Amino acid sequence: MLRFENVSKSYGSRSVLLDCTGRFAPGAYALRGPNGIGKSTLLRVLAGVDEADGGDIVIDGQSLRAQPAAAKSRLSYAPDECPVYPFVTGRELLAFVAWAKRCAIPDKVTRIVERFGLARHLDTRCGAMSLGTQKKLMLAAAWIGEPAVLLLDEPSNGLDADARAVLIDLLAAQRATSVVFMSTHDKAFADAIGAAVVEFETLTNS
Amino acid sequence: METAIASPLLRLRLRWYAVSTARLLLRRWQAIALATGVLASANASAFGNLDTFARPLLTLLAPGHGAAWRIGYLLALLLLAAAWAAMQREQIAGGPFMAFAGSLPFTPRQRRNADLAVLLLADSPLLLVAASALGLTAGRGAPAAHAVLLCDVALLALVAQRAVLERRHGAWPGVMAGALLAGACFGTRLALAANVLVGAAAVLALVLAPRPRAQRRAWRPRAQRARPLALGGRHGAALQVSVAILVRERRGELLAKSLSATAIVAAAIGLATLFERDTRSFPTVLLAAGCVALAFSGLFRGLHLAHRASMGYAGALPLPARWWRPFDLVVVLAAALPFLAALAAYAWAIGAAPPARVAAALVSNGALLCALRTPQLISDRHAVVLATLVAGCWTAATIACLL
Repeated sequence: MLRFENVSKSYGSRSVLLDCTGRFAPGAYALRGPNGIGKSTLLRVLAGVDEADGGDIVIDGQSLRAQPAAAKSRLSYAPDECPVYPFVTGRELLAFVAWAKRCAIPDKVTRIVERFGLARHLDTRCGAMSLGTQKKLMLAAAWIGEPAVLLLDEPSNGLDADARAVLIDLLAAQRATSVVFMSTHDKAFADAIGAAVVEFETLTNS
Repeated sequence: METAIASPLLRLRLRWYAVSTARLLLRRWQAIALATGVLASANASAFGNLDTFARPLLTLLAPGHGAAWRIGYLLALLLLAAAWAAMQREQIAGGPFMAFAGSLPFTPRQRRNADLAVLLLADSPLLLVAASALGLTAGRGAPAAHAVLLCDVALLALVAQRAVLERRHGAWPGVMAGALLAGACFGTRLALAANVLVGAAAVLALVLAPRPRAQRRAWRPRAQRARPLALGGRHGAALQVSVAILVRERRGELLAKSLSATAIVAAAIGLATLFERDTRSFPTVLLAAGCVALAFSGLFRGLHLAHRASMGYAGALPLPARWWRPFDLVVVLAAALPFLAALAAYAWAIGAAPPARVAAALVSNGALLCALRTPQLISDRHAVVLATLVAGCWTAATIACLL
């Protein structure tokens, strides 16, 4: 479902990713490594936010380079921060993501919104939300469009205990049908989901 | 100790303003330089250029207008000054740093002094107009009351701008009372005394610390009915993003463009009236429509930058590159259309051209607005010059085709 081969990425003269290779079947995977090694960069490149300098990325059988729209319609990405329009409301963001993926907002997302306690924040602008609320919104949006691959950057950061438990529940269920590929320093969180640990260095040496 | 703390505050505030508006200020100065060049090439002397720059303020002193007109004009000038500050609110206010600096022990006076210094910097292009008007008034030996009135306009503008920046709506009645008094007493024996009084009151309003705000009653949200998550319309969600950028994030800029367009439309109608609605009226309307399109085309830049800023997330969505282009065009066209339509309707109403030509002019100016997106985005530094050249050539071609 998620395959990438010889993926490289440099910023100027600084090489961040060098020949990263990985192949992942449905399941949960916790990407680990020291700060600044390139985990977030790898997720951004796999999500198509940053273009790889070289290599191939395949999402659910669709090449991100050759068919970016088809590949992106099969993935969801929740960054660590909230780099979305600060002036759109939560409701507008969800509607926008559904429009981009040419689908309706599924009932499942409505239930996730309720479970996260997001409903009362949906008419608040993203820029005025707390970090935890922004995080919940990005995570709820990740379930729009039946994604085959979920790329989550530090998904448990900033969540309260209840939301963390809800997220564990959701991801543990999702891993049966999708690839949940996340970077996290939260070992207890990864264990609760049943995620296999992937050391960042193993991707560059394989 | 006070100076030791305040001086770095002022330095940081001025630096933040310079950094955050460097390009914007450059473009304003470019516009002024371009206007000077155009005027100079029309055989206008340097003195004539000064007179042109000062015209918005010198018009206030022109005889032959009644008190109501003068008060209205004065209020319009103050509103323009307020809009000028409103569209730079974030840059003048000091950015996120001031949220942190709020926890530091600065006195209200230190803050207000820093605010005033940054505001004066932000007003520098406007101060050129005020200085030109004051210099010309003094040079022509006009009555002292006129010079004092010009100073009053500048001081009242600062008070109005502060009211906008500090969201103190209570200051507006004072500003309006000042405009009322100065406008009503113009040309009377009381003019000088009234102007001095207004000026002194404005200086006091600027110098004295405002009364602490009354505590607001806690706002209790009303229970809302649950709304569906999706927004209406096939492309409603995408269009909503472009609308939200203009209405929520770039409200000040949109307001300023609308005020500029209103002034352009008013000037065109005034000129056509001066021409007694003869054959010069239609070209005047076409030139004004070109200016309106040029003014609104500046909105493309803000929209584009906002979309670019969200690419860290939106880049992962299955959307074509620059998906926002048609939606931005629609919202900018929608914003400019009332003004373009007003000019077209006026041209049709006075019989300046047959309806088919008026309609063709409207279509041409809509197309011009769309065409101006490229020069506005192609270059950071030279956007004003490039867009002005395109608008000038396009309008000349439209005039050539339709006359």
